[in-house]
Amino acid sequence: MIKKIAILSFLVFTLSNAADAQEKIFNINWNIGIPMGDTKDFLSNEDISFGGMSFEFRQFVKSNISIGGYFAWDFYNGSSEEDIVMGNTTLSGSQRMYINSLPFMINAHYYMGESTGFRPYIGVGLGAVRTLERTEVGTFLIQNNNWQFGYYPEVGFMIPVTYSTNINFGAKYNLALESNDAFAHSALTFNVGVSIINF
Amino acid sequence: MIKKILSIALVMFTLSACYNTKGDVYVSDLDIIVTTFDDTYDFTGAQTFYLPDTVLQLGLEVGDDPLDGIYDELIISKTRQNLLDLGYIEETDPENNPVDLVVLLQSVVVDFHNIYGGYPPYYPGYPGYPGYPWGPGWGWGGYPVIVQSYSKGTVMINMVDPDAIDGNTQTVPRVWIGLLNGLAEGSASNVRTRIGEGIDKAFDQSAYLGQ
Repeated sequence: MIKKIAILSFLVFTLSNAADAQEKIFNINWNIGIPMGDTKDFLSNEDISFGGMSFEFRQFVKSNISIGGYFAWDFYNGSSEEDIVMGNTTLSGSQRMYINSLPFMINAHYYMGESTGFRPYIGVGLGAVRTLERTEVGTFLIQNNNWQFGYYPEVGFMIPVTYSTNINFGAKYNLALESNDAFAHSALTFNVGVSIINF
Repeated sequence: MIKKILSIALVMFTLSACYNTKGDVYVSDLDIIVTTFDDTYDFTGAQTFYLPDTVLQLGLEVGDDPLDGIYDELIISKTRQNLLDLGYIEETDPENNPVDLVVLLQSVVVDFHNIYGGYPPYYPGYPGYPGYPWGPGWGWGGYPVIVQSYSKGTVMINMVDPDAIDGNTQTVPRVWIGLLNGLAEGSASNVRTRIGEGIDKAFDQSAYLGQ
């Protein structure tokens, strides 16, 4: 009897620790970006970029709802050898285009499933995006840096690995709205990373 | 926990940093060719041209040419060949036989020097108390100064309509300009190749010049 009680107590203790509600999460992700729309046109030949990373903090306000913040640094680059024709003038030369996109967002997520298991979520983010556009033609450089209002919808899921760590997969459609000096930037990003629970 | 976060961040940073940009950039990749033309000029009506055997070095005193004109012959011959290939006829005596176009060649080489860093040494040392003179001491070393130097060159081909020259206003309207710009770096043979290809490209992208 005592043995059974001891085993049961051990299991309850272990499972209850593993089942502690997630109070806060810190995500560190590797971002894989697919430029779209005007962003893709600007870059000319960039289909997919593996040069991004992001940090995210989520604070649970309910067992299945969190709010937080998101910061990322997504990098894209393209090139072109096509001639540029402007009226009576033609310019030929190698062109190299770069975009650094840095979103600073607040976000909110809704979670399904249990914190101890596979946990899908949906969310939205809203905030400012710092876009750094750079075009190099020959030894000449054109830069266009702007702040733009942006947002993203997101879907994803987390898979628990250890007591305090999840693997995180997310997909966002990032949009920085057009401004007077910048075209609208859009990209689909896949965030693959690690979630640290209740750090 | 901080170590854990930093370790994970380092892994993610490494993954993103391994992403290569679009290949290496060579000196020839920095060459550009720009052409522009006067759309009111009828190139099909022009048949003859005069090409002086001189490339004017811009911004230099007469006789002062840093390259000693080593590419002048190439610039002149390439321009002449492209005009002949387009169907134009060269006139060597324009004073007695007026021409439709005069082709003027110019070039310039500019040296750039970018200077980075460099802080002067400090702490020259302290004098000792009277009666116990101390040496001036050694100053701390400053940070190294980095100087980055390179040269950029431009070749300009100007087509002028001699009939449109205005002596009163001293204006010489150009009906076509071909401009080559790039780094004047690399071996002489490499520069010659790039100049030749650039002049060919300037005429290739100007199909309206054809007869």
